[in-house]
Amino acid sequence: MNTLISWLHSSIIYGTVIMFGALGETLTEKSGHLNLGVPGLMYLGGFAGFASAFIYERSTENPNTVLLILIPLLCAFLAAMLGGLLYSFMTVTLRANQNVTGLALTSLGVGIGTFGSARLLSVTGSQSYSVASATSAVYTANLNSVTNLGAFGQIFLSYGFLTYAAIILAVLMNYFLMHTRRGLNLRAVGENPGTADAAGINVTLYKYIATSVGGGICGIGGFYYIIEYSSGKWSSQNSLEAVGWLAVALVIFSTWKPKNTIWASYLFALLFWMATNLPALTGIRIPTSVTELLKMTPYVVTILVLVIASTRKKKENQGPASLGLSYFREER
Amino acid sequence: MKADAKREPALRLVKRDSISPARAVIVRAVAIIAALLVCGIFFITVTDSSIIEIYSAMVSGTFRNSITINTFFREACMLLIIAIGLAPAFKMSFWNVGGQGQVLAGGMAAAMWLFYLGNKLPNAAILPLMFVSAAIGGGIWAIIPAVFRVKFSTNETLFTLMMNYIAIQLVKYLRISWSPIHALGMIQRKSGSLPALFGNADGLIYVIAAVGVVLMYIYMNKTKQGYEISVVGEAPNTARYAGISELKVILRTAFLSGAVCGIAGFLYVSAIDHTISETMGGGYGFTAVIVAWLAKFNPIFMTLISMLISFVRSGSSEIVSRNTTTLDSSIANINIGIFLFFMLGCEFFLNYKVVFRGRKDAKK
Repeated sequence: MNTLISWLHSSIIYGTVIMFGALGETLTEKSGHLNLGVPGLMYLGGFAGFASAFIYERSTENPNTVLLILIPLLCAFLAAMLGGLLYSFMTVTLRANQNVTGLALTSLGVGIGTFGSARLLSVTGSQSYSVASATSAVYTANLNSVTNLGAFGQIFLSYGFLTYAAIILAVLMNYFLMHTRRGLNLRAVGENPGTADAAGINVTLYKYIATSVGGGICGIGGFYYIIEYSSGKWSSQNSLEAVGWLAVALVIFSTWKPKNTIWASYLFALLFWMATNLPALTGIRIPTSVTELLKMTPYVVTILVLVIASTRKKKENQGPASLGLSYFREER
Repeated sequence: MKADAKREPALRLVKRDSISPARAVIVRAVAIIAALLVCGIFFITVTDSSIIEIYSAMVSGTFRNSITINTFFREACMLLIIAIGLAPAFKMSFWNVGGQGQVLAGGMAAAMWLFYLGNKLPNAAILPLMFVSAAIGGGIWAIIPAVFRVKFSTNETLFTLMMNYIAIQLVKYLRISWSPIHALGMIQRKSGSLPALFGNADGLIYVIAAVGVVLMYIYMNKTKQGYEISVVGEAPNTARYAGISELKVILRTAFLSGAVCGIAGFLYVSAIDHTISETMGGGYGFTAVIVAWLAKFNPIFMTLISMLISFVRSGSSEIVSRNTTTLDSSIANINIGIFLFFMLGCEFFLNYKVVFRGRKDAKK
């Protein structure tokens, strides 16, 4: 029972990281831009959020709770948004190839993230990691420790507020895309920028905003990874990169619909933790080498999903029609 | 807004039909110099050195002695081999971002011979076996996504990406199950190491890279198969009318692409690492994508860009080694990222012309 609870617990936290990434990427892709820079954006956001929290904590004796929440969240969002802005400048204005630009952004973001973490280590003099404990305490404050509802509390209430914010964000984004005029415009830009342009929609502006804000949301995912998943510690991690790629794949799995992203993220995370939890749960002993094989599951499932999604050609489950294509007005 | 729309915009973009080679060189040179400047400024902010000290450190760190020169060329060659592997796939509009996985697949195939028969077979027998099976291993890793791309038009970008992680997990599995003490042991065997050439342990890597560049240039530009690749890549419908089998071309090219990456894996196992690890070829799979793209699949440009990136890497690590307390090796990734962005950005000025309002030569 405890294994099951901890499996669900870690899956919900891990799934939230993926969910932020996937939501940001969904918004980006709705504008017709496939940003392969999500891992880089997560590193940027994670690092900026963590570093700002770390510096703020060290600068004052009594950190203000509101500032503890606002400063890192804003920094994470803005840093990754700048990454998204760079991407949109390259792909929208300079019309660089989207895949190549995304990969370059990933290299740059991962580089900046790991480099910055090394700088922080040299500040603290620690060899392994630096930690923002007060910020982490605020971000992981939860109802479970207050209400004490047993298993129910552990599964549903034992998370910081960002975990629930991700679900709310998904619902809001779904409403925005499906039920507002601006959402409709954005989808039109992604489907057929030429038509959208003719209808008087500012295509460039929509692309810039969607890509930048989408990048910022990915950045919050990176920050959440540091503050909740790693309990506020920044060490030289590289697993964040894999999460970023899973988030990109999850957009296809959720058929570009934010409401599907919610359950799909948790499902992916359950699969991700299966290798470590299933043996304990079923009582089957497996060697460590086989555990490494089991850890393939989320990637294999992603491939299966890609294949299944491509064989079933339902019109409403397809991505934006002009995804990956640069729009050049004079070329129409 | 409405009134504005009637006026000619202050500046607009016109697509160039062509650009003279001299101008293209100038644009690229400006981009490289600008990138070098940004890297220099970045280094100034994180170290106490002046900009001249930084550039001289980058140069002297790369060309100080035969060891650093060797590392510089070896890294350039490895990046180049992966890039020439990826180039035909991109030319065919097949987004193979799975270079990492194909390197690992080739490496695993080579390491299997090394591990099981490294003490039993002589070099003359085991090296060709390793080479061929590495090529097949890498090829298989690339042909799987290609099959689905042809059959169901499955997105190959994400498919090849996921194949990277599957290869990584497989390598982790093999490392644990091959090593008797579950440690990260090296595979030390009597045979299976690439012999030195002219007294240089990496000599054969240079030869393979040089031969690869020449062969790939001939293959892409002078053969029927190379022509088919560009037709399928640029105009799939034309290919269909002309009776070119898309299935055959895509599968063949994907296999070739993966096979060359697999050979890179063979070189890692037999000449550089003498073992297998999941960080093998670290990050070159992605960097090579950008190298191949920037070079427009031209093997000669690929060589130059690989050397440039290798220079940035070795120059950065020299500066890191002079400031070990404050910097770490990831700085090279930042600088490479800066370079790639400048190179990507300058592509725009090669393809488009900015025309200001009132200029009459805009029509031309």
